[in-house]
Amino acid sequence: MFKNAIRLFALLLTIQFLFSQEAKIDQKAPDFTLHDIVGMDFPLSDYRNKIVVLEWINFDCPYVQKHYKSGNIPNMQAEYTKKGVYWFSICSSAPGKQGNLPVGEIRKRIKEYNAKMTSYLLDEDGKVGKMYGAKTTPHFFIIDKDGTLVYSGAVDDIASTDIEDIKKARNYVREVLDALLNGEKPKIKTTKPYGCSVKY
Amino acid sequence: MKNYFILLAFLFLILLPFQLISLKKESYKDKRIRIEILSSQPTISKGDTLVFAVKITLAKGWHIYWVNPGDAGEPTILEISSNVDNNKIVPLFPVPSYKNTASIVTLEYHNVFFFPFQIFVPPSFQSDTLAINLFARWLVCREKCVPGTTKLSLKLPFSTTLAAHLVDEKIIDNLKNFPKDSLPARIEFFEEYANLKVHIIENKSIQSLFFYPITEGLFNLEQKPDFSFAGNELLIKLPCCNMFGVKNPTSKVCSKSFTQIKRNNIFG
Repeated sequence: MFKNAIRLFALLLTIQFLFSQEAKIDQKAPDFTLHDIVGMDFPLSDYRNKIVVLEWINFDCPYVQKHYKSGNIPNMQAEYTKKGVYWFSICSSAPGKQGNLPVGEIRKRIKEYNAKMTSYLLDEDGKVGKMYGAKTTPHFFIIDKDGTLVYSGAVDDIASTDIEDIKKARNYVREVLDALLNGEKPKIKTTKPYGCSVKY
Repeated sequence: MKNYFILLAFLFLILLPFQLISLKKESYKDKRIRIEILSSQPTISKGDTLVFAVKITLAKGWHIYWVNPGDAGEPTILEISSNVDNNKIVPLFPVPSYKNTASIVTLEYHNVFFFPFQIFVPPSFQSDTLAINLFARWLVCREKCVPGTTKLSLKLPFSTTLAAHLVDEKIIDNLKNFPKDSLPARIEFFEEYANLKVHIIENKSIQSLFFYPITEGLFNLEQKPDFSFAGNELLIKLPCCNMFGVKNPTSKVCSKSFTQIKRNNIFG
């Protein structure tokens, strides 16, 4: 009886530990370390006291292309990184799957789109993508200066691949970042992400 | 006992402003990077143009990036202001080292570097001290990349000998190795290439020319440019002109880009 109680307790502790590693809104963003295309490691824990954007990316996805070809996401990257925001574009495409590009091709696309992310990070085993619950590309997660996950969702409110829709759309990522930079609490916390499925 | 706490609280409030002043740092140091503001002259006087520098010392193996980091990394930002006027000063950036890792180009600083700047103090300047403030932002990398920001503040009294740790005469020695702000140059655009003609100043030979356009995508840097001399002009034939996949960019785009190149990218 006593042994069973201990086993049950251990099981509950394990479950709690596993769940505590998942990203949840209004809770501490789980830590991770991923490396960029040069091989440099970027531990999230080193970005304490900074506003951090995690953007799930797949350059071959038409929804991602909509926001990169139009300059929508690159312009936001340029604007907000200048304001002290750290912007990580994370690719969780598994080897052989769509979006898992050779380093030279990643570099080419970054130049072609004039992308200005802080860094393009590789998550080939999908561990970080699954930990954050990244479902689509693009899918955004925003972490405030306290390390709390304050936003999870879409870039905007028009789920299409049409570049013309960008002008008409409500840009959630801008709203959240502007609020954080003004020292305010963002009014939106979650929205439904749209795009291609992450190719785990 | 209650009176004792009231007295402590009173003392704390009285001393708070002094504590806040003492929080303003003269230098920043962690295990990867050290940042200081140093004077090139042991005594500073009104009516002089004074030379200072931000000295950045990196721990072994660590590096930071140039204003244009290249294909990875983050630009290093150094912004200076003083109590002389409201102007923001951006110091000179020395030539970084060029690193090519599997075709990924980065422009980096390793070890020790000086980023000099000048301040002219008018003879009529009222204050007894020169106050210099620095805002710095960087990404320091070795196997991993760690961001950092700091605000430093240095107060230097006029006409007294500065403390030894605030003076580094190597700043002046380093100045001669610095890139020139801009060389007289002009650019001509053709369908497939652009000619950048740099006028070589008499009796001054170019030791090295460092070229990395800030406006990416205008020149095709996958192909190496051709260099040749014509009289006192250095001709650089740059494969171009590709602005995000569109050939024949408008002259407006080109002239804007060239302005940026002139300001930031030509060193002699």
